Amino acid sequence: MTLSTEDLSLRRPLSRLTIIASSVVIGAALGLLALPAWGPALASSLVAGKASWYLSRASGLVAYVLLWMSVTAGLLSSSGIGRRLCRGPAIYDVHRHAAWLGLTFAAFHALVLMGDRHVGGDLVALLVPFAMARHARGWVALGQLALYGGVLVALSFRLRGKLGARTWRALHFASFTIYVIALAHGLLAGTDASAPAVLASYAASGAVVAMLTMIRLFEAKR
Amino acid sequence: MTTTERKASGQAGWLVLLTVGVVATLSGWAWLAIESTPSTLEPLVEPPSGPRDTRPPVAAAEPSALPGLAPLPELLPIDTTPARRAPQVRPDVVSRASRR
Repeated sequence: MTLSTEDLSLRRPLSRLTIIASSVVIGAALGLLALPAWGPALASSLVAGKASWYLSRASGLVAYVLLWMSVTAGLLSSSGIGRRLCRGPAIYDVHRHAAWLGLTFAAFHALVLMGDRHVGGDLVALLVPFAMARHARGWVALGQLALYGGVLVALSFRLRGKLGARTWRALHFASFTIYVIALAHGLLAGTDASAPAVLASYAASGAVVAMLTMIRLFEAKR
Repeated sequence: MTTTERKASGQAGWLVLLTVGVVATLSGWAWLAIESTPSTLEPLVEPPSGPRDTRPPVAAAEPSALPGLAPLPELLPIDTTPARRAPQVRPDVVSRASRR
């Protein structure tokens, strides 16, 4: 069976430029649609100096979701039940990309607080664990430690060959601890943790990770 | 799937995740900003069930600052409702009519 030129062009992957251009166009269209509704509230939050606080809260939740996606995808790709459910390299891509993006959003979640009046632009308090004196020092420190631990684990993706299988595996298992620490940070330091929807999301996502970890451990013992 | 296709698919997935993350963050910002802004359409306090009293509040009688003087009389609100307003008739006109 021979394929025509058209068939081949359809099967050709989208170029990076096409993806970026379409993302920009879609984003601009969505922005234009949302601007009349959101504009006044966003402007008033900017004027009142609350924008960085709101952005930090929103990006913190996004960072948690991405971290959860990465951990879940990793568990699915390494367990038999996961391999049966999701085949192919896509699950590994989600595992890797969600980890890096989660760390990016977590860093933004911390650094955007430089513009917050409550924190007062204290970079040391934002970057050094247990240096935050103004708000839940211990629980904030859990988030800071999770971020640094996450960077180490994410770097291990790239240094897998140099680290050796045993070290890489040990570092990778640390990601469970990082996930638990991040969840505790969200629950105990997060302003939105008291909201029923957020609390339910934390509970559901934590239950999924716990269940997949148990399956993984059960499979490893067999 | 070739290596190039696999790479491109990975990049597309990364961009999709990034876009979703950015949109979610901006939506969260907007949602929090809208939640914290009091709506101008909804009244902050429930209006009373009866007719609304638009008269200005009346200050309580204040004690006089000077010793020996009686306290100032309590100010009474001016009743501006048309039904209760008495007809304004000049006293001399009334007296002429009553004489006839």
